[in-house]
Amino acid sequence: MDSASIQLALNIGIPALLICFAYIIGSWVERRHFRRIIRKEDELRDILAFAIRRVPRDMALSEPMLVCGNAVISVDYFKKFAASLRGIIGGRVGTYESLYERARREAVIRMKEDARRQGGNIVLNVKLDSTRIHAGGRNATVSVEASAYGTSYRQGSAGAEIH
Amino acid sequence: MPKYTNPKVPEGISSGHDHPLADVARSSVIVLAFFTVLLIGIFATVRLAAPLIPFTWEQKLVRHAVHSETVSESPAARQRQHYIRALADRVAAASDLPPGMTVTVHYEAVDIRNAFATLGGHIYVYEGLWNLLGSENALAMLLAHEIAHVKNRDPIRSAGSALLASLVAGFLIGDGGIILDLVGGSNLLAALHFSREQEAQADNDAAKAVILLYGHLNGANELFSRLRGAASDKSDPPAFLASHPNLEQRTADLRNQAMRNGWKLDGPTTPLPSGNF
Repeated sequence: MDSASIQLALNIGIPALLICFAYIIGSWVERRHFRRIIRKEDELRDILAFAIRRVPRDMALSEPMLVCGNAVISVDYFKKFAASLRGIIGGRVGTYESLYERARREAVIRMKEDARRQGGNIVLNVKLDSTRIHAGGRNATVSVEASAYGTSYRQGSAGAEIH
Repeated sequence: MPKYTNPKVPEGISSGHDHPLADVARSSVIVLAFFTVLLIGIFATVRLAAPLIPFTWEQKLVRHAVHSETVSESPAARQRQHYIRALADRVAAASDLPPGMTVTVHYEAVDIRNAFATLGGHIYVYEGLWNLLGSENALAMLLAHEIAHVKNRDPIRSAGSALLASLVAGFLIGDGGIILDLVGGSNLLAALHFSREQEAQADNDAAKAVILLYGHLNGANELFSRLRGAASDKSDPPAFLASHPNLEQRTADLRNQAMRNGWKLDGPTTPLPSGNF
């Protein structure tokens, strides 16, 4: 093998190895995260969250409290590779869709946990934001941040029919 | 009062429609196919457009890369080069070169059984191949073949493709130096490969020139049969054959061409000068 072939093998082989490694680890981490999200969502189902801006007249609520939660999830090498291919041909970037979904749902979970900590059991006017955290240069790994915030209340006995 | 709930939402609405590996496989195939088509298009364009480059530019391009004069230590080599150049002038006159196109033949006293045409109308004949030849007619056929490559602008076409290939390789390897090596050195000049069609066309044109010079194709016959003989020596086949395969096919094509045009295949040959040579 001459030096050019070795260089070619290194230039293609190392990224290929990294992609395989990132896929194995990344999909394991992602599956585990989704399991945790589903479990947490079930645990927090009694904390209600709505995007409505005004408090319904028939709701008897305590003093309002601001609650928020955010989550930052990093792109892995495999997701980036898959997305860069999609960047050429267009279409749904499936690997980023699951990434964003994890960040969004995790942020809502944390917001609900915040509400529970503060004694609330309903969050109104829930808003979601997302940003991209760019760590360094052009080829640096990107993380996605989702934050969820809203106004939490403690429902009184008058609103007992809200579940 | 309405009942407010946050029901459990089914999984897989926002993501997870497609297995990531299947998605990558599909995207890769599309991207690879796209770049393959693109590259084929660029290569085809280069091959078509390269002959539009004026021959004088081509000569200037390689002025520094080609050895201006053969380093011929021995008077025999100098004499041979002189003899080959005189013969090449006669062949070139019979080859119907376009105005302004000239060929420069270099004789290299190196035991390599090879000869090739390269950019700028430079043709190299090595001692190894000279030793294989039996007559002036065979040498004339060889020169006519190489001159036909120059006339058909084959070197510039192949150089364009080779340059492009090295650019692609450089991109894959991520080393620009490899491209500079190829452009700067005579590496590229000796490494040009012509397609089967280009070789067939060169044979065809060469046969015409040889017929004009001698009135028969015995030199071509001899050249091919000697190369065939040398090719049977499996341990050391001539380098010339690596770039000129399908000798049987080419011999058959030559016979067919002779038949069609009513050219004689046999005739008297002039031996190569011996003695001091």
